[in-house]
Amino acid sequence: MNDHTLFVKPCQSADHCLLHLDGVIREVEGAKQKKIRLLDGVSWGLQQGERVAVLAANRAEADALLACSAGVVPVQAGAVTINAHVSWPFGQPKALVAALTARQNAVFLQRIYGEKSRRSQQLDLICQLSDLDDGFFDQPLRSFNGYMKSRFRLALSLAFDFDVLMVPKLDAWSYGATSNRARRFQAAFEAATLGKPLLVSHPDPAFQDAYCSRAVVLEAGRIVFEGDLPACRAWQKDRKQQRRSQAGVSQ
Amino acid sequence: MSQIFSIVQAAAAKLVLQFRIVLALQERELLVRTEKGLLGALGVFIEPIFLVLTLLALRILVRFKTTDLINPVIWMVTGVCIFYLFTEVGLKSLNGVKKAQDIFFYRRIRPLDTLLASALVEGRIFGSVLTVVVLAVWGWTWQAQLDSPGEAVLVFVLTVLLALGVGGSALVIGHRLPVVKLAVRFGIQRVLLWTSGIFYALYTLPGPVRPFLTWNPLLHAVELFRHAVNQAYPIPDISMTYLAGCAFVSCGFGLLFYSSNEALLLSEN
Repeated sequence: MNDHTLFVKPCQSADHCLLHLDGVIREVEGAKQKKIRLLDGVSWGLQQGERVAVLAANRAEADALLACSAGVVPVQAGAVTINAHVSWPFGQPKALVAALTARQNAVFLQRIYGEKSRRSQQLDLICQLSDLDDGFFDQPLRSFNGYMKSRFRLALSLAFDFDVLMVPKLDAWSYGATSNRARRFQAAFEAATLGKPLLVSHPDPAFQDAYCSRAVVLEAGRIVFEGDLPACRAWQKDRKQQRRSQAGVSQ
Repeated sequence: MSQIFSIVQAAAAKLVLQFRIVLALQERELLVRTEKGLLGALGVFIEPIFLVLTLLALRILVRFKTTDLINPVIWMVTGVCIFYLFTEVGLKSLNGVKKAQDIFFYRRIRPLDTLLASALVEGRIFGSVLTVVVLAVWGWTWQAQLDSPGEAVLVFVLTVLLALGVGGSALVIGHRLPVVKLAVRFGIQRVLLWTSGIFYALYTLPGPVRPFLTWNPLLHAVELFRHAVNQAYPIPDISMTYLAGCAFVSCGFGLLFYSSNEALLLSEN
């Protein structure tokens, strides 16, 4: 057993957690069909009221933890138990149909995740947050450029009510920007996440400070430290220095 | 008591949600077909009609034995619609999981929902084609005949159930054993095509040949539908009980098989 794992709190049982990972292994195929292990036997749980940042030197590992926790990707081993209405990783709904208009895509998702009585309200919110040029909400998605698409995807994620929210790096909104568009996204994000548990792999420290109180540190696909956000950052910094000094000695 | 009430309430909420999901999926499927097709919404219905016309032309060309009890266009469209309704829902489900892989990103959508949506879409398309062609023939010949509308509707619904049952099993089999897709494309589908009574009426065949064909429930569906149009149309060795039995058994088995393998369908990239 790696000595760094001593800092990880004992994992709660699946029944007590909103979501629970038990010995999860996630592998993806890299270049030349080489298997890359992003999560290596991760056991961890998110409880009610927790807002957790995932700190990792390799962002793909942090995003893999989010995707596995959201149940949107399969795992090669282990079990993921989800006891809440968990969002997909924000800004990443993959299954949008390019041939359909933004409105048709939004209506489809609204029928699945939204409330019938709030349809027009939620569609208006998506339209407003997407901030598309006149008439573009009724144009096929294939005519959108990358920025428009990412705004539309984030708007879709913010329009519906979830119990647990997954926040990866958001292309459409940089935290702290002062434009009207950014302010609208911030207001919608704060309204959508109010009082709800979060799992955040957004790499911006300011964003993490604003919305997270706890953190987990991932290293080589394993959770090696867990605690308050400042403690985790300090641990990560020490570890980095330790590695640098080890590298210096070996040279 | 309150515990039972809350269980029933939770089950009802789940059922309502599944209805909403299936309806959303079928609407999306129709929209996608409309947007991708050359003729838009019209194309969705015209394509099956062109298929019927092609087979009719083939029938005239090859001079298949005809039956004078039913108008030949209605006779042909009945066979084509029922057969293709079954293959589009039941056999195309072999590719169902792969085809809808993207959409399982949304955790609320399960493979069964896509199958139900596909059954609804195909049911609407082939039901509309059947209705439009029959009405057009009635208008053209100024002769309307549908002796047993209830029987016609029942046969159509049983065919959809049969396709759903086969589709439920096909979802799992196609995903776990991809080689079956080849066997279906080059074997089973052709056997079904030639034993479903699309190109011949069962009563025109000699008695000793019939047992080699009547195992196929689609033949029962096609011939029963024709019988519903004209009660004088003879249906030897054809039985509604057999069709209903096949539909319910395949549906029950398909759902059981699917539910015990659902996790496997979602467990791979």
